[in-house]
Amino acid sequence: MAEIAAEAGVSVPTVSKVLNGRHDVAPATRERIEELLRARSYLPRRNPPARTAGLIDVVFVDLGSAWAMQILAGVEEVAHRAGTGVVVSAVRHTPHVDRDAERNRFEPRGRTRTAPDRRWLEHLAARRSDGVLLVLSELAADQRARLAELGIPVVVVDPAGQPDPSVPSVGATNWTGALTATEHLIGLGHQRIAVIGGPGDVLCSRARVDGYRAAMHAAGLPVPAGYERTGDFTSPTGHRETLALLDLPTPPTAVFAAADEMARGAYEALYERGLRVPDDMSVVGFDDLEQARWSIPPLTTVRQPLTEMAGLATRMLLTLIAGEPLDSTRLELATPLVVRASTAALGNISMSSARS
Amino acid sequence: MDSGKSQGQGGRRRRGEVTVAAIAQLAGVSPPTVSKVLNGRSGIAVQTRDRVEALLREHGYRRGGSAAASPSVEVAFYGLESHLAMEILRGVEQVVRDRGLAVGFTDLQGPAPGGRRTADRLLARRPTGVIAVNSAFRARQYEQLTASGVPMVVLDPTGEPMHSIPSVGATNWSGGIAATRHLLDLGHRRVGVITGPMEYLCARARLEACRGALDAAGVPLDPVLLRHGRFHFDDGVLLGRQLLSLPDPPTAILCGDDLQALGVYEAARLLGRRIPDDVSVVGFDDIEVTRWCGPPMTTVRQPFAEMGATAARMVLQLAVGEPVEPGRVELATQLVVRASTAPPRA
Repeated sequence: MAEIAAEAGVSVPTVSKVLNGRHDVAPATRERIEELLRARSYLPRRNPPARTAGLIDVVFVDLGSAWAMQILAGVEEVAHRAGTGVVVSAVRHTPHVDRDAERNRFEPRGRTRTAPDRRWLEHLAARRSDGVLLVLSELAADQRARLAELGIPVVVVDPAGQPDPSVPSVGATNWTGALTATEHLIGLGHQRIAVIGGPGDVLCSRARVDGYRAAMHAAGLPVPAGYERTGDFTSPTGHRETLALLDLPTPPTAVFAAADEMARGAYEALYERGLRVPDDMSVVGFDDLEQARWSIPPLTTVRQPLTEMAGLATRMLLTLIAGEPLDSTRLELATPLVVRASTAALGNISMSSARS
Repeated sequence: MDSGKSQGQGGRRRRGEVTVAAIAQLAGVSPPTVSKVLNGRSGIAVQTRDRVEALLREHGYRRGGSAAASPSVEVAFYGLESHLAMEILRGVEQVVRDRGLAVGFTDLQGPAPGGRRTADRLLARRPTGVIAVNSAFRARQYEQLTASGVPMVVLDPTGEPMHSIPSVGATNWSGGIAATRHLLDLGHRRVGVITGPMEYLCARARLEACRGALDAAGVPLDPVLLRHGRFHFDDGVLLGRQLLSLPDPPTAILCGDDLQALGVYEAARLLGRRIPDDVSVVGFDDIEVTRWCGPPMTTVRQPFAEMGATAARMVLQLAVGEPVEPGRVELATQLVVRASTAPPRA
């Protein structure tokens, strides 16, 4: 070892680090040492010991989205315990993804899928990464091929509910969550219940609207014309669609907004019209972002367990990095209803609003 | 790429700068032991590590060329509220990405795996630079990070500058003045104040600014109207309720942050008071939800993303060996007037 160290111009401990597969040696130095080790048959010529970068990459579409932090917290917690570092990148919408100029203008923050740009993958290949967690972004075919070629596994954290069967993913039970939310409103005696869904081309949004319809149908309740609205998961659209509901000849007494941010927009619309939540209208959201607790009044919502989803996806990724097979490539976590103060029994509102 | 001439910890360095070998000699240990300390590796006695770190700091050790450094800027949080953390991270990412570097994210609050010290994990990756977001960083953690010779900048929204390290903050005091003057201009004379924890300098700065502005207007802060709490929604509800239930309640409440202000909104709702008709409310931070809380909140904006971007530019400057002047940068806060403030009822 001393000879090799002398020849490589490094210290003996550096050589031993390389031999032990430690990753705190500069790549160039490591390669030079490995070359020498191979030349002296210290290392097998083929299948050199797997080295790890000690890092996993988390790719967001937009770090500004309200749920990025909950996801990151889940990733960090699991990676931390495994002694793996977490690198964060944000990719922007690329023109070919957003064909629709109108949609660009109301860019749903972090909700639609988009491919990371070229530079991202070049950087990643240059510095090495043990694995990639995609959050609401998808890879172009050539990007996927490049990662496979580099031997870097990919797992998707998929709150949009559109699993790509070729990539392991973790999602949530969107349909069941929406069913539970609507049943909660029905259980409170509401009959005129409206829904504000997200974009029709996002699967989680369809699943949530379908869950609403299923609950209404099962209870024998009609869905009057104009009661199914379409937003884009952001507050401005929740606001706009709630105003439209209030302008109907027979407005609903309760609304299920398929995202907390749209529920927030609904609150604002009701506030503008001098109406009170839940006295004049019950509102249920979906996501349970931390802001739900700070809504006035605190929002009843369906909890999408983002932190747990991200933690599970990270465990799956670490399993793949360790070269082990996954038990299952698609997992969906349960979405329980969290009842707070934005829903009340129809005709019994005074009691509920007096509740603290 | 690698010259191969000066391996170990060196890389090329200017004359007169201290080397690993010199530190090793001073500490009476081998150079590899010093390297281990620098790289945050385990297997070194605590006393040895402390001695080596002290010498590294004392002699102002700086890493040689960046050849061996991992091309990333690490953002180390320590239990910061997540709604602020993400904005900061976003600002850092925008600057760092343009340089082709990765952004590492570490929460130093969790227990360290395998008995390694929290910061060691981060140093083991040998980042290009570290941005320490100070919420509850302890002096000891700074020492560990600075001893490693990795360029570091502190981003301290809570306002606790460490004078030895370049830092970025926001003008808390000016923000407090602007918020108080706004209420005075509307005609409020009975202003209630809910502050953050007094151990945070930012909370003190905002309170003192408010006190000063009220004094200057000849309506000193009534001690009955002053409450201290944590930066939590629940504390806003509790303390807001107390203030609004007083026999002579305030006509306006100035809060330590937006979460407390949202809590006051909830307290007002529960008591059947209207904002701003019955009471004006002002927050601090301008987190996104303040635009959608019925009525949209008047608050003091802290430019978190810009603060992150500034810290990133500073740490990258340090990483290429340029000094950062001045050592402390404070970005301007700005009053954002929305619908939660109005003249008091006659």
